[in-house]
Amino acid sequence: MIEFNNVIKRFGSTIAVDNLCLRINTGEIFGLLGPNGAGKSTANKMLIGLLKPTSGSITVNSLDIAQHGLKTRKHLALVPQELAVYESMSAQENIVFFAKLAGLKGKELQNKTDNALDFCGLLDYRYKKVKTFSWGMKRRLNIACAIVNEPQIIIMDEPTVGIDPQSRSHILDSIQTLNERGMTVIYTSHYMSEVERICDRVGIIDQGKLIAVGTTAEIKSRLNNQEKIIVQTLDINYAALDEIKKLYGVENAVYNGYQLEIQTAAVKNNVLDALTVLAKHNVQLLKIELEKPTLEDVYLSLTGRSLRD
Amino acid sequence: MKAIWIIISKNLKHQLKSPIFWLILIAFPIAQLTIFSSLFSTAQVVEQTVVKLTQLYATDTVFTFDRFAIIVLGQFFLIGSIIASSYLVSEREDRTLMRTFTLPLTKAQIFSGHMLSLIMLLLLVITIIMIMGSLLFNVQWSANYLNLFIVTVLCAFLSSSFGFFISSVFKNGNMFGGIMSCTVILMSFLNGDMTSGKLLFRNSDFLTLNKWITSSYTGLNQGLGLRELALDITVIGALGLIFAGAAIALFRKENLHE
Repeated sequence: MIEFNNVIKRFGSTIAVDNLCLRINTGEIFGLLGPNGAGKSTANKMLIGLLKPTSGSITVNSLDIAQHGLKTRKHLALVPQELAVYESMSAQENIVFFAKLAGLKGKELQNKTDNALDFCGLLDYRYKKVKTFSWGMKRRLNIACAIVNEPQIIIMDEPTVGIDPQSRSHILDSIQTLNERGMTVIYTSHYMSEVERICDRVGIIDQGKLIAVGTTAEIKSRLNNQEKIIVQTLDINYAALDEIKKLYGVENAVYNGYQLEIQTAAVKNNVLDALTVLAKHNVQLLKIELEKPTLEDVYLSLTGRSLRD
Repeated sequence: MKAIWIIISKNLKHQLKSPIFWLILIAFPIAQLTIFSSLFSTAQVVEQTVVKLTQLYATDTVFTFDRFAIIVLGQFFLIGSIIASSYLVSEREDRTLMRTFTLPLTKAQIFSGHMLSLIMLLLLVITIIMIMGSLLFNVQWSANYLNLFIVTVLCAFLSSSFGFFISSVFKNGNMFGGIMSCTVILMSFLNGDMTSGKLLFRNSDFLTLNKWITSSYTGLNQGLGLRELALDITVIGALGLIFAGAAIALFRKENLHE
């Protein structure tokens, strides 16, 4: 089990992580969500020992990482956001180098290297230089280097950035397989669909503070009283849009690209009222959908819609 | 110890595979010595036929070529340290240094691995230059091989710790390469290597690493023992320790990997 106890991390006058209290259970896939600069990577880096907390403590299996850094790092591995592999070396040389440093040797080193290459779909490219790899292959190698010594806990910091859907799907399936083998996974991403697909629990962090934590269902239930009416239409006039916005229970209405999105507080008759207004203004309807709030809606409602740096 | 050796062997393997290593660190100094050697032999022939060379002058000329060889050696200690330690900057840029920090290793192990590989690489380069210098151009580095070994190890330590220190200061590879090259050129000017021994200002050579390296090798070349070279050796060792200390202090910083 991993515990962040009142962890604060300051960089000069900036507070990157503000009094973080979080528990991640053994064997779960925990999703860490947040805008850029929210403090996710800083939290991950503190856990792996790259950064030291300004105050507070982090424990891994009841061992304080400040006092037992080496011991805890034997059970942890990081898949960094950026590629961290030697481009001039082959895939196998990369994996073997990091595996040896992690303490593997002999037959075990050979077997686990083969397993990692196979697991990441790189067995056929083991002797090829990394600089000849596609971006997706490099990302998979980035993962292979981290999992080769089969750590108990793996921290994945946006491992699917900039890759094609096939590689992304492969990586997500791999994460689930690793988890089924007993690995605890901390998964940081901006892609809500990925988090919803693979994570057992999710934490949303913003401006260094943990603002929500729970299962995806629990988090989504925060907006349970809301729903979205999506109307596809070829055109709408501003008078109709204004009238809809003024309806009781309607929180917002936006028309964008032949699609009208009406955010409602799930009040009875909202759909009917909206349709009545559209009919009154002779708006031609193509399709109507009702949508329950997604994780992205909750995320945006908690972290706001303003752009971040 | 095993982890240190894994880092050393990986670094050495990488460097020895690099064409830059063989071209700049081995072929270039040998080419320089070849050019100097041909210039000196031509000069000797001219002197012998036209001016009637005295025995004393001939001895001076041989000594002067050895001096050039020592200057070349001194420069390649520093150039070698630039090329070898630039690898450390690229480790940081490629995030591979960060990945090693996430492994169950101490920073001391990682530092030692990189530092020792720098020293070993420099020793290899300098040994090759010395052997080629002796075999091809009859350079008399020293009659005492033990003293030569001690001085060479100390100079390799100084150059490596200097390179390590500078590579820990700069996060950008291009900036590092530029600054290091300028530093080496500046040192060569201050030491008089590029101005036929003329110093830019009084004692300007005291500010350079070349001065202490070339001075100790010149002493060895002239048959001096370690006792007579005590000042040079002490300065080389002390500067090496200062730069190594500064490099360790920078290496301990938590954001070094960024």
